[in-house]
Amino acid sequence: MSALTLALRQPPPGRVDLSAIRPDRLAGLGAAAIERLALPCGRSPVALGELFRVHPGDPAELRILGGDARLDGVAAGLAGGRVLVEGEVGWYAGEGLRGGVLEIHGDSGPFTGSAMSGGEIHVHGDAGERLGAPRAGGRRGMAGGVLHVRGSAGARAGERMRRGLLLVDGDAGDCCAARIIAGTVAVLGRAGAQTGVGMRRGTLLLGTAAEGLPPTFNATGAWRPGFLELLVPVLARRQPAWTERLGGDPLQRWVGDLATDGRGEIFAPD
Amino acid sequence: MHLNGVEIEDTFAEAFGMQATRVIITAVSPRWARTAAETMTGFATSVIGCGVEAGIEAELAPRQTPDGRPGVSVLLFAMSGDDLARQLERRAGQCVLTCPTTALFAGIGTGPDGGKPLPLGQRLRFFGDGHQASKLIDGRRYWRIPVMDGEFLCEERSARVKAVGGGNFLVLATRLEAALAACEAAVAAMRRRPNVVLPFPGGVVRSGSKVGSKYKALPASTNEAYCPTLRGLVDSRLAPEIRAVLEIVVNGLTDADVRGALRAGIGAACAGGPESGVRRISAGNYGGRLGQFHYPLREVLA
Repeated sequence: MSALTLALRQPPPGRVDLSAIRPDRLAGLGAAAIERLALPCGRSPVALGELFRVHPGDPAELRILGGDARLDGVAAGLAGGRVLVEGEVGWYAGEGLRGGVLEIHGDSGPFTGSAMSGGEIHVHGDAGERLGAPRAGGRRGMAGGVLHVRGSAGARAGERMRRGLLLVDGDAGDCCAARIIAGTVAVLGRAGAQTGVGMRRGTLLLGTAAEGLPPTFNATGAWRPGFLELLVPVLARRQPAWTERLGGDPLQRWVGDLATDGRGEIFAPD
Repeated sequence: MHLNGVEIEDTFAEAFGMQATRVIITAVSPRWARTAAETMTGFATSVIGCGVEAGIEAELAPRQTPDGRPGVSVLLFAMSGDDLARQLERRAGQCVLTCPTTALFAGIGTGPDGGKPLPLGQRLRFFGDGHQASKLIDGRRYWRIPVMDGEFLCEERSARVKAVGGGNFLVLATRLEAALAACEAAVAAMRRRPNVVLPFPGGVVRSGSKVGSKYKALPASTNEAYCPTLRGLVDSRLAPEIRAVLEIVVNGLTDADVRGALRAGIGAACAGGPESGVRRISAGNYGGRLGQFHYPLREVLA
């Protein structure tokens, strides 16, 4: 059975909340029933059928063709199955993801993968600010799973992360890995100002020489810990350049943020 | 029945159900990996006095180990899961944690096809005195414990599986040198096989034992029926020309592993024929009432 496909007819009239459109909730619904579903859009709901052309299929594999930066909450709360977007998405894509795979062949807006706890998100374009971070007022960011951005990420990527793996192939904005509690963040390109600020525990791997770390990080010298031989292959499975960037040589290491717990660490090549 | 002219006695080896785990030790060089493994499996010949029976299963090339360094796989066997956990933790802490450059990994997975979880680095981590850090990589948790040469990397858990301990055979020869040479050949052949270890010194035991003793405190004592110097004094099992008997004990993860190792070992021990001095192959048992696993020699070789 082929994928259930939603093809965007025209740009939406306002911000559309797609968080209710999940494979598990679409199971058992016919094309007509899916078209009748009401989507929150600005001040008045709009029928899904007005925005999307529905091609019936297996909802465990959902394809959204023709993205738009005003489509919010795509695959939020996904617990299984596969959601594929051919185009860009708006805010909160994959928020609270628990399982399954969300693949975005385009850019994604702020709070992508916000507080996700499992599954995988792949953004083939750039991601907005607060990648994996909790919503305003939330205490926990990403708590598991894999969040991989092929392009660059905005400010505060990985904020308040607790567990899981966050990969950025391009550059990361300011305050990357800010206030992380634990987990692993890997940025192949450059990281912006105040990288790792407020970090309690966890590991930040930089593929590019570090510059401008907060003054509350202390250098511990060049060294090559054994766990890298386990971790680098995991990174390289998703982005082969990691093997060469962090290959055989000792890496510079800093510990911090000493303004908080101070058990976090940043690794970068010389 | 004869194998290469050596008589195979119509008897059986009796073995026991045990709990086992495999761990993988890696280090900067094969020498240091082996050093840690030999230390960890030292004083681990018999559960009677050592709490655990352990040995080196194989040396591993860098591409066979989790961290791409030279390694050694070790098998440990105990009578219960608790005994195994206690001994594993103690030996990992005293013999591997202490050994320069080593890292320690589980060699058996948990889960439906694997075994029950067994703590490995789970409590060793407290040696880090608060500076220990964990990393969850591909769903497996590792502990990083700061030590003076950097970090001791240790997987949080291994797994334990049901296993077989005490598979054995006896080599009866006209000279001690002949018995020893036959046993050395058997050990070499058996150690090439996976999933088994020979826990005794060099793989060979000279003090075959029976259950019980005239002394109340002793759970086991010498097997006088096979002691050449007691011939004429006790009910001996030795023909007049037999001057020495040596035993090989094998522990394996499964019944089939032990069976295969016994077959390979007996074949190698008999390779020289009766002219080598090896006259008879026998086996140790307790009448068949104690152990769950029986290995009739003639059936094993058939």
